Amino acid sequence: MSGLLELQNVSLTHGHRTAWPQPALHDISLRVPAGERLLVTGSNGSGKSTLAWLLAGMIEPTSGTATYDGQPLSDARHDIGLLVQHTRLQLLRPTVAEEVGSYTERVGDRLSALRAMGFSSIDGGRRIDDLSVGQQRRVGLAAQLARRVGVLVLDEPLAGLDPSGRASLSAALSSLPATTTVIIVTHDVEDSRPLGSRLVVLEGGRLKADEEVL
Amino acid sequence: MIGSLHLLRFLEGHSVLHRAGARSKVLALTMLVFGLSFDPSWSSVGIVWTTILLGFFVARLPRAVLPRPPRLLWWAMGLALGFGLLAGGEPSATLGQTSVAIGGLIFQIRFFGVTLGILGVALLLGWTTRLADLPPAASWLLAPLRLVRIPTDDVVAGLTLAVRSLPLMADELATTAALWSARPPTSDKRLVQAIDFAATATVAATRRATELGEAVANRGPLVINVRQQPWVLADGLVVAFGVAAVTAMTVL
Repeated sequence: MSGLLELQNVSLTHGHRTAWPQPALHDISLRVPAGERLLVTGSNGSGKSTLAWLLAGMIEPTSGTATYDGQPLSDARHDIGLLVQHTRLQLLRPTVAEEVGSYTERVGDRLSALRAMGFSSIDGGRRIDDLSVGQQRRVGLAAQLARRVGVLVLDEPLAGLDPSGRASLSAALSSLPATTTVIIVTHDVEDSRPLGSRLVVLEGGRLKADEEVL
Repeated sequence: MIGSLHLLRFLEGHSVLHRAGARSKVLALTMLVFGLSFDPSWSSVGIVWTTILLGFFVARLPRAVLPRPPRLLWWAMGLALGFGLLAGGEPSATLGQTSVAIGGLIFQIRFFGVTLGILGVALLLGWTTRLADLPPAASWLLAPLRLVRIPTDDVVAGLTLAVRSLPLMADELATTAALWSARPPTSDKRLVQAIDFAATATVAATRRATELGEAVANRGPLVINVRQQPWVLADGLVVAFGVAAVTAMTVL
């Protein structure tokens, strides 16, 4: 398994078979090797979130090929985790422990994922609705870690958090396993810069820049 | 899934239906819906469906505007038709040596004709009318109710918020459904999973409603722009068609 995530000449139009087609991505080619920390940035409407959903295998390109380990991304969803900005939408169980437990039956994986995201064993009983936005995101991350995914796609993970929430989530993101490919989609690149090794800039759905983070 | 229904999405055009104001179309739609509700006969169903087809061609709408509902809906409709057949009732159809009572089935088909007909005229209104034009039209239509001290401004404000939040809600539900489908299979029963999904969707809807309520509280009472466009020939045609359709429903 190479863990290579690759887009070749990918274009995507939302609702392309409807009367309201909305082109979102144009001719994107990208290679993300295993373990890379990739930051994707761009202004509002540049196609960042669409790219996140595409890289997570949740939507398919209108044209071009999107593969992970040589197989279509949509067939590799079991090995790719997505954390959306409104994380509450993906936390379906009532408590922290139940949410993380719904992703794996291995108790050891649950506990280590929760610990990695800064939760103690007592926190397992806390209700999701009683958590702050930052804590909910850490639960979402813990759930994906417990799944042992090879790729983590995070859509605006630091958006809307206060400084302490940002610091604690940044610390959690920094502690992710080195073997896990992490793709962070963000409009605020300054706060996320320490988390990335490579920066991709989107503009109008096109790849404008692809550079190393210094 | 839900997002692909494209509820109340306007499509640019220059037809009579596009030129007519929201007032006349909402009035005609109200007349049709009331007519159909009071007399849901086959002739009324036929008139409503003829209106939809006529409107579709007059507005020169492409087939791509038609919603593509989830497969689950077709299954549910098939199941309902099955129950209708099981219900029996007159008349009966003879298939070779067997006589099958199809009264319930016919009743179920007519029920679909009525409900989908109402949905169809609403979609026609959405395809040919900008969303922002609907609240002033509703305000105009409900104006007579002020005489009997019904708080129509509040009703219209609520309607406005509901209409504005509809695409956001649809988007959030579509996101929740997509994320749900991406979860790894667990040993939970499907019913438990469905309850989890329904609970999350409810939380998302409640949160959206709370945010809108807070927005309203922060900005003060919602003022609907009730300045109406002048009546044009297209409005007259739309209203005349509505009156003719309701008259036909009454006569036939």
